Amino acid sequence: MTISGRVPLLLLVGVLPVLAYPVPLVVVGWTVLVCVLVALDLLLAVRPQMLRIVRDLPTSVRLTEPTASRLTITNPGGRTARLRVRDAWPPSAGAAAERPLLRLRGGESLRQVTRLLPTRRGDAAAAAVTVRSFGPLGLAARQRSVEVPGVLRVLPEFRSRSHLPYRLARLRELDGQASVHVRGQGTEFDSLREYTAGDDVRSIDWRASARAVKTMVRTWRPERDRHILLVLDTSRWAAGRIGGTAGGTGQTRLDAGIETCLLMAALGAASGDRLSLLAADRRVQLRLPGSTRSSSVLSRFANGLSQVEAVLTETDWTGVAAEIDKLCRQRSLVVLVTGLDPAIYADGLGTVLPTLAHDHQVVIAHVTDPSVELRTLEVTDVRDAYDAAATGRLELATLALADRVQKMGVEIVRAGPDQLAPAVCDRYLALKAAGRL
Amino acid sequence: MKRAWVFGGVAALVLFVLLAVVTVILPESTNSLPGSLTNSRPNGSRALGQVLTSNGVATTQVTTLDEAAAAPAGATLVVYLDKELSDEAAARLGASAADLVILVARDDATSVRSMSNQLITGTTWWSGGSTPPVAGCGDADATAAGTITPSFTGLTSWYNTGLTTCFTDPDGVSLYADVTTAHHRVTAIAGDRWLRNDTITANGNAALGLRVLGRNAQLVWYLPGADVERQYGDIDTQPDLITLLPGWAKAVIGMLIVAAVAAALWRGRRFGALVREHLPVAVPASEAAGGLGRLYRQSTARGHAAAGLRAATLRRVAAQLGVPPSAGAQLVVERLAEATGRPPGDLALLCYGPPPATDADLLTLTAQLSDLERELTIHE
Repeated sequence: MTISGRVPLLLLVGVLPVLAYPVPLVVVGWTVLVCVLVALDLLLAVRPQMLRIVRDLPTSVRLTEPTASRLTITNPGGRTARLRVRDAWPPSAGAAAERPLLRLRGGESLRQVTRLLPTRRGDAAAAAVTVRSFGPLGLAARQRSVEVPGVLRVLPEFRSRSHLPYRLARLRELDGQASVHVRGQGTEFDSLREYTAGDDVRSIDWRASARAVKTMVRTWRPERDRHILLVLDTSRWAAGRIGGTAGGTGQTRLDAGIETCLLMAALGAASGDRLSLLAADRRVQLRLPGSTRSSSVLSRFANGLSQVEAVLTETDWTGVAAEIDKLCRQRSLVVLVTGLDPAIYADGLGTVLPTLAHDHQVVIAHVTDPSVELRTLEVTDVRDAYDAAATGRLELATLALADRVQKMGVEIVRAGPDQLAPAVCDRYLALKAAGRL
Repeated sequence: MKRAWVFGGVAALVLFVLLAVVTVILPESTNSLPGSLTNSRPNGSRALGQVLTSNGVATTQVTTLDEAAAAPAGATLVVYLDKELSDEAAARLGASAADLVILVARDDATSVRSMSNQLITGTTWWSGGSTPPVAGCGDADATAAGTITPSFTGLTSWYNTGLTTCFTDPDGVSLYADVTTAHHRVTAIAGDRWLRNDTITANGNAALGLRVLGRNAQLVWYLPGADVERQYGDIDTQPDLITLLPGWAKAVIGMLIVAAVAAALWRGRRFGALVREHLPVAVPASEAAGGLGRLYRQSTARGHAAAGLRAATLRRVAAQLGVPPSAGAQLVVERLAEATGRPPGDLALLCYGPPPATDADLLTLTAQLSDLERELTIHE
């Protein structure tokens, strides 16, 4: 049970009779009177156990997009119920705390909408629904919590989708759908068509022109149906929060990696390539083998990636390489979203990278921390000077490592968290245009 | 499970409150009071009491004034004076029909005067030192004891009428005073050092105790409680705030308290349980750089730090100037001098000079390097 704010108010009103007859008996009497009213109100309140509550919830929502959880409350009894209902959610679900007083006559149903604005990726499970059923006087309420299960899947934000239209236009240029045709290595012959003004004269097929009466040009399109594997490293590296402290609000490297995977999925699906996804640390967190149906790739990836969490372990690269072997039967484009850390390279990624680089085209996507790069320029005390020196040293070591890795034929993309996804896609398009897939 | 915890907590609280109340209500055990006949610790008088009992004296120990004042004639009433008594209490004890023995266990005990019909004063210091004094008087009990263990406090008399004083020091201060008034005999003995469990066997202590306290067949041993203690400053205390309030205020305050409790209940009840949030792990992305920087700082590796700063700056600068990374110092300095217009000597010292000697030098070097970098950015 619980009482409402009217009880203390009513007791305050009791000051008037007490002023009139200032004896303890009046104080006790008024208190007893209020207690009796509260008990009466409790007796007359509809029992919360009698109410039927059904939840209506969308299965998934994209991060930072608003949604709502709807509770339908039915009062099967005869008496009017006066209710306040709290639909409890974890704080990151961003539930608005609006709990209006619902007046529900016998046999009627009502719907209470709780607006949600998720602030964290992953599955948000609804907690118990708490019902306060007030009596007719509104003095006291019976309170009861009921489990009405519901899980809202919060998909990654996919902020980088704003970069998609430009990349798709680039893809169409490559694809021969636009007016520019560049014949390059690794492109496939598409078709012959009549020459129109503006076409590159170098693409005229003289033999075909001789057979036909008109001037014919060849059109080309880039390779299709290539296999692309995105490998997302979810080790301690991925748990790193960019731009400051662990308690800050900036995005982690994992978030940047997820954005990269999603933008690659959208672009790769449009270009007709087959995409697989692997998220792994010491164990495999997510394994999505390639699918040919392009439309479902993005939603499958988003769905799977919503569950991926960083863990504080190092990646088992031998195991990851075995998984890559299983997923890639032919030569593929393997995008490793991981850090180039000179300290752990030799025992980690370095053990498998030469073989991988030999078998596949490997791209390493490395998230840099823009706040660290500023550090050198804003030195105010000795502590900063030492930190800047350490940053500079690590940067040099990373660059030296990147040089070594690039000599194996591995492509390296280093960019800040917001620029990584478009940068990786640009590199992908460049590789595609060069026919190196 | 949760309810069981709440129930257990409430039960523990109730038990605690009950215990506290019982401890306050129940009287203090006399077994630990100083001077008590049932206290067997060094500061008690159990030894004396036991010997008196075994010699046929009926001893009773009381802690209330009423019981003490009710001691009948022909009995001995012992007042263990370890606190100042209020005037009423002292007067009632002085008027007792029983013979009075005052054990002055407190310095400056003014109550002795009111109990002995203004004849004996207990507010002086005995200056005979710690050597056991000799009785040296006509009192049979004191003479039989010979010597006793003295305390600091002493007894004097203002009117020397019918008063026997014994164990007197050169200043005329005594340890033993005996006078017989109209209705009873009053004996005052200074100090409690002679009748404690730890000292009763020394000197003539036991003899004096047994003789004085064993004068009558019945002995009432009175330990005054806090209720008869004299209250100081009774006259000039301010009237209580409560008494200044008008009559209706108490009732209104009571009503307001009830309302406040109700408000606390109203606001205190939670609308359903708290919800747990599953938090992902996060570490600072720059933890490796931060750790290395701390290592440099702790070991004051200025040479290392300066080399790192110079190398990092030169790499960026070289990339801006279009100098290959493999270029020698000579080429880099030349190009830098062209780009900035600074003398090559200064630049060589800045970029390839000796390591800094102090932290301040390191800071200066860092500032100069970033200045150089900024300058280049502006030039371009």
